Amino acid sequence: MNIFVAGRYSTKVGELWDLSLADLFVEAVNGVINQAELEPPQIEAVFVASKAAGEFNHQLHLNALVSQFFKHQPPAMRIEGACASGGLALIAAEQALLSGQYKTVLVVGAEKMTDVGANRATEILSMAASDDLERGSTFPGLYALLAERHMAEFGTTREQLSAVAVKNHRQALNNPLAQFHQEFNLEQVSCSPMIASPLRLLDCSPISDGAAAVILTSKKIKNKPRIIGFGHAQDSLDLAHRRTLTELVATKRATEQALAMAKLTPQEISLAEVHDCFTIAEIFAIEDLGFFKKGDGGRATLAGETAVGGKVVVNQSGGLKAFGHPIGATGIKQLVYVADQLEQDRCQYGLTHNVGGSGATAVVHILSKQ
Amino acid sequence: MNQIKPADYWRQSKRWAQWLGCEGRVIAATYIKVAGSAHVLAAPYAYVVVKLDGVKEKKELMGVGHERLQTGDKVRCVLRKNPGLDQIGLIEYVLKVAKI
Repeated sequence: MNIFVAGRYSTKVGELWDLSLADLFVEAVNGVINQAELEPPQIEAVFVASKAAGEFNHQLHLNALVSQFFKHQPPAMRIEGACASGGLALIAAEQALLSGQYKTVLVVGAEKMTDVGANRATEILSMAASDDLERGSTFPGLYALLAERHMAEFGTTREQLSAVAVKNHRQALNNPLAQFHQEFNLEQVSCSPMIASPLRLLDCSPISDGAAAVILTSKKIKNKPRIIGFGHAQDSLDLAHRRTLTELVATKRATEQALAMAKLTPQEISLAEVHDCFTIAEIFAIEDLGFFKKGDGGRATLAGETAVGGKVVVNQSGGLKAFGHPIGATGIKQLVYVADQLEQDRCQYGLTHNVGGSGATAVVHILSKQ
Repeated sequence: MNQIKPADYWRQSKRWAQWLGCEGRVIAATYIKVAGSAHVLAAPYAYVVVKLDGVKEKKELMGVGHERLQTGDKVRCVLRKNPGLDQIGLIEYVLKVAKI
């Protein structure tokens, strides 16, 4: 498969008071075009990702908003799949390239989340759950149910959950774009305020502003990372209709597709940016992606097997937990980060894993150095 | 505030009779301390996955009041008012579970 990452750009992630949603899109689009050393008219189509700009910013019709940045106003579409919006926009762009309709496209995602209060943000995020079947749920509450089952079934401990947060905050210290540059120890995470038992404040990814963009092309380019596999799968929107509460089936299916396309095994991947919207989500991810057997993810994390220098480096960027989680941008900024590492020759293969809601949507990408 | 819309409430409430009074067992439980704006006055509250005996169905439901629930608890489906700030709009009742 010939899909190359011709250009990539991430904004700083955080509470970006001076920047509006449109400002974030402008910075990402200009940044990626400059980085790719392309002329704007070479962009044939645009794929825009955002979860909830209507609710957060009272702005919809984002495809038109972004297309008008270009004099030639390329065709554009907006894609929404909760926290997997960015991953899904990448999939749509890849399908368009593989179909032969376009040769060079832009994928951009953004979310401006910090202009609303905490309860309103919680309410907007809960729209990723079933309004009918999960009334009263919150996003942390749903992952708390998954955590409770994982802890009961496999003996995953409070300390193991905290180890995810400690590692990702530590790794974010080397990422200048990360929202947080603050280390925590196990005790600080384990004693932070309860949000939805057993998940505490420092188990949760933050509310973030940010944007990210990539230019994908089917034209062969030397010394640029290549997408060699992708997968996309679904599960039931509500937890009650899931076959199991101790694995995310959509992640497993998306991973199988991506690995088959790439002709790789999980053991050949040494760098992974996974969807750690909560600490328990990273433990689910590293098991469902095949890096560790089911029930072993907590132990492996506490043992340092997912930290820099470990068996597989997970969320070297800081992940959603410390790099930040500007929802519509997240799946794209993961790809930007992995492409950066590949181009700097720091690994041979990298993987990204982007999840929507409590696991109803999953997107996996695998990239190689060339 | 994101209270339920009257039209949604009317459609959903027509189905409640099939679950009201049903008993079951909690198979996963959390206690939500930070709620969304529609349920902020109800917090803290239990939120659980329940396996219902009679209808052989799994369902996600809030617990009544501030009652704590845990996996294995035997519960029954009941109707309870959802506390809201709106004094003149819809008075929302919600299907919840109470410990037996």
